[in-house]
Amino acid sequence: MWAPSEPIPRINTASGARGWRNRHGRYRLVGTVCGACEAVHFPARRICPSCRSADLAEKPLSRTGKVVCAAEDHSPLVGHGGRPVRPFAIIELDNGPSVLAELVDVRTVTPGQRVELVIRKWRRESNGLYEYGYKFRELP
Amino acid sequence: MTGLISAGVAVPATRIALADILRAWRNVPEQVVRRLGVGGRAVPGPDVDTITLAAEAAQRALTSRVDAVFLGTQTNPYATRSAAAIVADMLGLSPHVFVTDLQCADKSGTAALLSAIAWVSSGLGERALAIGADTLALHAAPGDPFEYTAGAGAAAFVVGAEDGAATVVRAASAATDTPDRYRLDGERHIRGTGSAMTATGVGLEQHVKLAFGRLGVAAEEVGHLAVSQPDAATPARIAKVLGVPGESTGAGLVADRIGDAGSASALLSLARVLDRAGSGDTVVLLSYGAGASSDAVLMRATGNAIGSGTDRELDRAISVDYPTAVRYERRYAGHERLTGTYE
Ligand SMILES: [Zn+2]
Repeated sequence: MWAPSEPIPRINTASGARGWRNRHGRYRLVGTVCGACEAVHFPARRICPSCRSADLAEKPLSRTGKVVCAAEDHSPLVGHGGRPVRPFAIIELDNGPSVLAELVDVRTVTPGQRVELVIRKWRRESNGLYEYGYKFRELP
Repeated sequence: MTGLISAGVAVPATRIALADILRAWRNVPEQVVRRLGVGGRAVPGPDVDTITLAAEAAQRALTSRVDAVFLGTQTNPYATRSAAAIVADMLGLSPHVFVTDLQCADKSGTAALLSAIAWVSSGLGERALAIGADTLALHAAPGDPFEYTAGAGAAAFVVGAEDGAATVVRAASAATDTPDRYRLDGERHIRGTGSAMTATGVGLEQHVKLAFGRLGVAAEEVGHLAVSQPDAATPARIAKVLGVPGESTGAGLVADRIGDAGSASALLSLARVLDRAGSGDTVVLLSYGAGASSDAVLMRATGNAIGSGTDRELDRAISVDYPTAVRYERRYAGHERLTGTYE
């Protein structure tokens, strides 16, 4: 095995099992939709926060949306040292709730900008596995 | 009839000009670097690896259900886990899917495509996804001449039992023990075995000739040659070796903007060709993998553009300087250090 020169952080990230259970949310924005009040949630819930119903079904949200507002993160979380400054945005998805996500491959971020989901590495978990998840990039 | 139905590609947007690498190292004569014909090469971002590139390309290629995923790569971040299984889950495919990784140096991508073609032709399944993906940039030693061109990228094709954008006519391959470029288990960097083996390209010329020679197509009939491109000068050189028309390499040229995309190289080239090939055009896909082996696939374009958007991905370029590339590609190993929540 080649040394990936990417230190395994010696902090407690989410357990491998938890990371595994929420992977559909990380990869494809799978949230839940309430059978009683039709509210859409992300991340997925077990109980609807609006009406307390447990009648929830999984639903992949839209992979595209638009930037509502953006900010820059100057203190990188563990595993993100490669980019000293990371743009973040609240993204209003085309068919559902808004998500807070990192933007990649952008020069300037303006509200209203159309973006699409791309899967990127989030970090390395404390057990050594790579954790992948959604980020967004500009749509042409 | 087996054909290529849809395609998608992914290339890191961040690129470095070869002149910047030369300014940092000054270890190769300027005219030698210029002769490669590569303006800039792809720099995978700190959050990009073979799996993310493969997932991006596959997502763009996927227009229908597939029952198999073949992923060809020589730079899987995991030594044992199947990258194809991870990508299949990322795509949200049904777990009733056949997956496998293929490793055959730079021809892993065409090996995956040929496996998908065989899967469909044999009737084992109806549609298969073939992906070639690599991040060679992470495996080039600092100061090695390979660092100038080692890039990254991915290309994916859906293969099915219909005509699509191109129908497969015939395939031929070649392989011998020719050690020209390799990476041993436990090592990070890809090595060359010296000028006698690498600079002369003896393996490359022999194997593409052997594979192409068995296709049974007259050299002058080749309309488009989609070929592995360690640099932008190689396609013209291979065309000359094979005697195919020089202009047949034009539509498939990708290395001039992204460098060596490894096992994605020939497939990226094919995607760009099938975005513009005319009805009835003779298309030859030709790969070379160090070590050494070649695949050749003869195809007939139907004139339906495959719509891979390869040009759009190639044009999406953000220049970075050498220090940034060093940080992104983790060229210097840092301390194993105790960290808090923030770095
Ligand atoms: Zn509810």
